[in-house]
Amino acid sequence: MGVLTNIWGFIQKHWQAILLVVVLAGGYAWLQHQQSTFATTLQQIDASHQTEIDQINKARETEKAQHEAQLEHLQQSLERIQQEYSQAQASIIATQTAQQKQIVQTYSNDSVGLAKLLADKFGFVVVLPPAQ
Amino acid sequence: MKRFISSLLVVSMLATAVPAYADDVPIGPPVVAPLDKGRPAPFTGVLLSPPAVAQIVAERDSVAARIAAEVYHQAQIDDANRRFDIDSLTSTCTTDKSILQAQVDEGKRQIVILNDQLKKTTSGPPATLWIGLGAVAGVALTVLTVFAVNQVK
Repeated sequence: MGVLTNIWGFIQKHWQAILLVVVLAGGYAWLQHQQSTFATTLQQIDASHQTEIDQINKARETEKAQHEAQLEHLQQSLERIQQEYSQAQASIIATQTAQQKQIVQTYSNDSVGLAKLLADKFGFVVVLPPAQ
Repeated sequence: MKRFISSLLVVSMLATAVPAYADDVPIGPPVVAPLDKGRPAPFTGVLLSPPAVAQIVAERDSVAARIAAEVYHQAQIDDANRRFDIDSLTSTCTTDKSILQAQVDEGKRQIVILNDQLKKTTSGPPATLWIGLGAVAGVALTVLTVFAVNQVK
């Protein structure tokens, strides 16, 4: 009982200081709580930003890979087209050469037939030489 | 009077002027004459050997095929380039869409985070409880003040 009386006496004597300490401690705890809350919020926002940055970087990398693949596909297509063009040119030249050979073989000793062939192709008029 | 007549003549000549063109040089129809070896040529011209004629004819016959090949070749090149352009633009648009979607998602996440923060900040006991606590604290403070004043006296 004496202890309680002493405590009560101490409180009566220093109640202002006790009240100040309690208020300061409460204020400090409240500020710490606020700071912790703000820090948590900032961490969440930072994590959200990082997620956004990762998504953007991933999209850019995907785009870059797609562009490279498309460029490679274009190169392959152009090479294939050039090969087909070369083959078509070779085929035309072969056909032309065969036709030339066939004409030479057919009309090598037939000047009249050769003249008529030329006239038919270009619309010339065939003038036959006077008979000797 | 002479001046008037000369002016009238000049004006009438200028007004009735008709352009005159020279006649085209007459050329005959293009002809080709077969010519055997050793025989005299019927006219001055160019003598072609059978291989030369064959080449001319074959060249002429292959023109259509050459044109078709060239057109097809160019069309294929244009098609490949257009396809590349379309694919490239599609990739760019898809990427832009992904980026915009990421930004929208980020905005939504921030809204959720800030709303949570707002709820935490504004949430707590109802107003009636704060009023009651305030009244109790006021009473206690008054009693303590009275007690302290009495102690001082």
